[in-house]
Amino acid sequence: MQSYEENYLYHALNIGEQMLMCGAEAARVEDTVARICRAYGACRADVLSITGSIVATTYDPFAGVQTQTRRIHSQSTDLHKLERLNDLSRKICTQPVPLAEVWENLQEILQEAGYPEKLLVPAYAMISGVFTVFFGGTWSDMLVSMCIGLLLRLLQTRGNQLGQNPFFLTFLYSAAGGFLANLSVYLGFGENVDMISIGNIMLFIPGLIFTNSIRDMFSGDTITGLTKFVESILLAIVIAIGFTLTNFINA
Amino acid sequence: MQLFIQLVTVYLGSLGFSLVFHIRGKKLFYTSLGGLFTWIVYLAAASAAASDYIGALVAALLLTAYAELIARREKCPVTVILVAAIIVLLPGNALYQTINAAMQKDWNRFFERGRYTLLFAGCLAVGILAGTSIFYNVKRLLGGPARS
Repeated sequence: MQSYEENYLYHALNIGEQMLMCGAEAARVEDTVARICRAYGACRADVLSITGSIVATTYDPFAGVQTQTRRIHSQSTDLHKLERLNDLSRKICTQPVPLAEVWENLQEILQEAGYPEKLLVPAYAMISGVFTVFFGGTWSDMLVSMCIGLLLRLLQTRGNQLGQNPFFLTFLYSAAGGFLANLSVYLGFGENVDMISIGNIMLFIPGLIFTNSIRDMFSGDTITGLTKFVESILLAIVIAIGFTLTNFINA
Repeated sequence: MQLFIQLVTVYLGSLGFSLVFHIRGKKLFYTSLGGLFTWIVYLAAASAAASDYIGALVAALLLTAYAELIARREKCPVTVILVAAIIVLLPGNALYQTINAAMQKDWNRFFERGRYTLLFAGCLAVGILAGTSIFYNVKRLLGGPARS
């Protein structure tokens, strides 16, 4: 039998967990979980979120101290979901709703589908093509880059199902991208390997992690910010090495 | 013409990233416009100060302020607006050149490009930090709630 206090902490952490998975900063997750707990009657709520984990302790004058922990392993950026979760937490904080309703709302948000793959694959192609031109590539570079972007997205959707280490997977995608760029120039379809590669690098560049890490450092979550910052730098280096690995083909 | 192509591609690039990050509705327009705005500010500031680093700093600062404003208006997290728009500023090109120089054992170019990449990313970070803290302090002076 769960007490009321255990229950609201559980639901608050559900929301926090999902926010972290969608790409929220640690500071926002901490703030949200603490606010929800206080809205349901906790006198104080101490929440700590460090890279993929949340620890929350609430104190209630009647029920005493409660602590629960979450560990998050997978992340996939979905800012629309993050926005919906943020709205849900706002709603709870203005007027606490019954916990069963929170659960229903959360399920509703989680079941809502994001953009379909039919749209994401062309979006990837567009990004790589457009950035190739942006950095000074020719129109034939753009076409090649778009094809590679498309292939990389198809590879990525298959690869992410393997459940491997994200650094390793990113390295594989980058190496594949670099190889395809070099091959296309070698075969005479593209003209500039570097322009084609840079367009595709933009697909993988860890912009969200970088931005969030800096915002976390500002909010006082220095440890989370620093670890995420290092993670984004390492990822960026891994990506660049992957893309340049096969440049000897056209050297 | 070169400039026109750059602006169109920046807009489309930011739009593409907004789609990849599953941003919906009106905010798609705000984020892609943010990307365009960022690049215009970057070009203007970089040529006015004759320094890419200052350009990055000013562009990141103004973009953060823009994201904070829009987020407040739309009642959504700042990250939603900021992330897709800031990608055009990330030094992916310079990073590629750095590692490429290392692969070719061209150490002079490696150090030169590497220093550029690090400083550029550092200026971005300072720009975001400055934008956020200025906004927070203005908000505190105006006495608004401390949450976006």
